[in-house]
Amino acid sequence: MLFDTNILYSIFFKQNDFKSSWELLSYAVDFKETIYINQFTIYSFAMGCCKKKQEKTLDRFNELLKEQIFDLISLNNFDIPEVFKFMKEYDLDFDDALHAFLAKKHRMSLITFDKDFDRVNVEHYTPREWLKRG
Amino acid sequence: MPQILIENKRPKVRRVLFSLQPVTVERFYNAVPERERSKTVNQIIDEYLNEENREKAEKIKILKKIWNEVDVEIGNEFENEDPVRLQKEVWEDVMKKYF
Repeated sequence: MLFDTNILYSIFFKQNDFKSSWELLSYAVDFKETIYINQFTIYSFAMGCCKKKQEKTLDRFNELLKEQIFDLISLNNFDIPEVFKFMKEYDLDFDDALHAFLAKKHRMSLITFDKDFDRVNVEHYTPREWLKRG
Repeated sequence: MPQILIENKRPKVRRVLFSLQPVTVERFYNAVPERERSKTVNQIIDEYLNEENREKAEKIKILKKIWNEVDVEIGNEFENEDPVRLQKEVWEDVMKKYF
């Protein structure tokens, strides 16, 4: 599964349905489901933490990275034009297009609270939806 | 592939089996002295599973620690904020700053 940045905010800032986000995180560890995040998510999350003056949150995030609870997924040279195509085709910002593209390319479920993905042909769930799926 | 491994009904062991290539299992099996084979293979699988469980337990311990920190330090400070909105705001800030 691929985590959108808003799921990280939910986990670390206790936002939205954070209990489900934590439950999903624990589930993934328990059942060895790999949680992928992309490099831009790290930049975006770090900027969000600074914006909210929550630098300590970055230390916590780092601990989970070190424990390999998250795995990084990156882009190659040929991916960028495809991301731009997603931006145009679905009228998404770069961040969203990137997540949609990576989820589609690697056939992963995208975990997000963002309703913008409803108009995109990519498998996506909120944490609660994913957990209910069984 | 060694029969003893195939016959093992424990779900976790079956998962270990299928995660290994047949050639690897064969090589691994043949490297064990014949008279000890069945016992040793099972022991090694158990050790593998114990190691896996130890890693998992460690990760769960870290998760609990982080959750406690988040729960105490963050409290309800951001509970009414939307994480999707925050995500979009960050990108808007970047766009304003650099473009």
